[in-house]
Amino acid sequence: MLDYHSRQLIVILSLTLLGLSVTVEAQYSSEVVLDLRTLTVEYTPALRADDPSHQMLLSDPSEPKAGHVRVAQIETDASIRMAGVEIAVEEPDAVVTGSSAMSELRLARYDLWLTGSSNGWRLDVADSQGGPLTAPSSIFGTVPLTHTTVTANSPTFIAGLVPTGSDQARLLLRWGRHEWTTEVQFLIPRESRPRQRDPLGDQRTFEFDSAEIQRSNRLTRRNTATVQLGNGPRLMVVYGRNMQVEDRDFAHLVSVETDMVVTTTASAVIRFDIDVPLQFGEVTLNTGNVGGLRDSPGGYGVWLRRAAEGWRLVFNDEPDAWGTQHDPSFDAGEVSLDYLQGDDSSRALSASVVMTTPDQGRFVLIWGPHEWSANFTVLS
Amino acid sequence: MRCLRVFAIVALLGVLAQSAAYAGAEAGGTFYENVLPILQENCQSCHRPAGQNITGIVAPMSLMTYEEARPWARGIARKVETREMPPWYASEHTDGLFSNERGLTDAEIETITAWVNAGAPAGERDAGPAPRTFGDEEEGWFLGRPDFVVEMERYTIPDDAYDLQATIRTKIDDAVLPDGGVWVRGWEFRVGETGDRVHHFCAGIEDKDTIVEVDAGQGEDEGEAADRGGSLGCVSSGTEGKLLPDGWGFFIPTGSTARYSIHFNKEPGPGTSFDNQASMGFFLSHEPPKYTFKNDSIGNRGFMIPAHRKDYRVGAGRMLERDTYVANLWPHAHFRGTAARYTATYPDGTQELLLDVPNWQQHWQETYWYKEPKLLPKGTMIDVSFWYDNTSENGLRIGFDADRSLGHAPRTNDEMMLGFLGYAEEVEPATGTQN
Repeated sequence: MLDYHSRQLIVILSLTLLGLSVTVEAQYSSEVVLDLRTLTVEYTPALRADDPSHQMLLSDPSEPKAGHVRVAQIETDASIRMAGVEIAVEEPDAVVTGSSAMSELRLARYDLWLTGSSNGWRLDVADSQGGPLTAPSSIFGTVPLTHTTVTANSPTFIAGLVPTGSDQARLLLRWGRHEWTTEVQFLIPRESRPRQRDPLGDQRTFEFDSAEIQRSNRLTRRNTATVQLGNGPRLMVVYGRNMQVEDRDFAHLVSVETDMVVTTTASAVIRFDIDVPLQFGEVTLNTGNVGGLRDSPGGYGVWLRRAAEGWRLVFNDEPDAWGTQHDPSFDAGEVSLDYLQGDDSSRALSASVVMTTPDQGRFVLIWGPHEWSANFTVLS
Repeated sequence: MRCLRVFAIVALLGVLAQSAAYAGAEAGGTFYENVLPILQENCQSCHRPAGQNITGIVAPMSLMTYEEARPWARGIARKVETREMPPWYASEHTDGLFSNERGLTDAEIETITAWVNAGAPAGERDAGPAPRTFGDEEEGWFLGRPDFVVEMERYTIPDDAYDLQATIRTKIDDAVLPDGGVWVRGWEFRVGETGDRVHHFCAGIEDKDTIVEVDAGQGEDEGEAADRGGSLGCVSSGTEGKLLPDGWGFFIPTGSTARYSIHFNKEPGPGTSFDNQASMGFFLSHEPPKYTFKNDSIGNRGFMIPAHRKDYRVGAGRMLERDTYVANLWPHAHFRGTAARYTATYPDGTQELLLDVPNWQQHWQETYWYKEPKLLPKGTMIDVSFWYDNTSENGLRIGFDADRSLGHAPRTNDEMMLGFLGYAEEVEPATGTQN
């Protein structure tokens, strides 16, 4: 039996740990996996736009004031280029199935400092360091940012990655009424999937993680874009790799008749997994639509429909149908899409979600010069 | 005198009883005259003495003789009346299309039930057909004695293994592959003496050097192997050996390696270790074939079946780049699979249901062989759908955890969605080398 003082000590320690746990801010993240290469940007919602320490930096949308704030960390398992800055990561050895040794993934991680100066906005890429910092200790490179003033205010800092092809993504930063973007490009193709664990132990004990194998199998043929909202809900889009504009499926996009959905013969339907209900215009996407349990996540197949007045996004309750297997009887709702025509007509199909405010986001589809998007609100 | 009278009465009663028995036999039929032909035609290919059954994956009892069949008479009647036996799960839509189709006519079922209801009499042995023989009875090959046999390196499944997917490669003796290689017109798999612990067995021909390797779930699955080419297909419970269609062949170059990919089912524990030595028998093609056989899968490896979900569809598809002659279809899934369907959408937009298996059974994974290879023209879209039942009711019945959401992985307790097809592309003469 514990004596009174021991029990008191345990209670005090427990309360202290509880207090610490609620003061630690969960990291939010946006991750893309493009052809087996993973790029992640992490940030904390603790960066408030109305924080007096940041107001000088953010005060004038038209002309940045001098200053810098560490806003995010970027992590990659493959070499990337951001503007003129190259982050090199040693490629894993080629994977040989079976008894051959499997390679370890290498990772590179850097802090991102949002910096204003008389020359404009930029990101300073610096060595990743823990603890509170007021200035980067060692700047690895500098990335100029494109700045836009937006109407939707984001009271806290947000970072997101929007895939814009097979090898590239757009890094999008939002804070207050500011939006900054830059392009990130993977530099080296990856043909086979790297393994993250030493399999020898598995061979002896026959214990292995099925979930990891399932994920690996998925990524051999799909790309993903994931938003993690702290320790809470996750939103993930899964779509077919290498859906190029030269392929027959893109030709079908161009020629699809009014009121028909765009089918893809070479990939499954775009899959959208949600851990929290979302509101797209008049359409509510609930969780639990495919699982047998009330609190199970939501899963939707996402189809693109040509309508007389433009394009529409169709949500369907069969998230694992093939791209030729749209069954309207499973449609859960559809919303109109905003459309933009871009300059780059060579972009492979990509689909993603990106947060634009702490509780609002955007579903983005890109294929060739076409870019569609639909805004949503996260329902708590 | 009194004794004689008693004897006469007994004799008369005996004659009357015998007459009654024959009358019953005539009404219900006899084993030799009426039932044995049905068993020979429809049942004995599986129900043969253990160790000589299909590929070594054994049926639980032999039904070759009256003595073997009689104790199971009521069970036989029950199984055929419910059409559970002989096993065949494709819908009526494709009746008559597949060469290995099984099933009894209403009249045949009536014959068996009448025989059982009449007391399952033997009848006169001479009234029945001669015993059926199967290929090479001595060595146990279904299709006859192969021209050459490639035996796997003997492999020990250790105590601590369970649900093990092993890939073992064995160099083929160059002596059986002379002059740059040989064309074969078919092959037969034998899973070895421990066939009752084999879930399924896939094989292929590769050009790798001899190595023995074990992939405890981390390695490629049979679908990936098929995608790389050289696949000979798979067998599991209910799969019969088949020769390729006339004019078809498969080229095995000199220096090739045989790949055995075997899924062993066992519980781990001390003393559970066992040895296995699978083998493949090959039948040479004596004339140059017209078409080269290939095996491939149309699969979906990105799915995620939700926990506690019934009737969950996973789809896959492929558009054919060339005119394609399809020889067989093999829908493959694991514990939770309940139904499978292949559909062709032709270039003119018309659709044809190629195969519908509304009651797909994990333990009866049939390969459906067309009687005549089916031509699907270039531009045909083949869609494959599988349905899964991941509910706790099904989990209790089969033995899996319905609390898991799950995707593509090799264990039986994970899932797969692979629509295999054996085919030949184009109408091109074989050139003597494999494409």
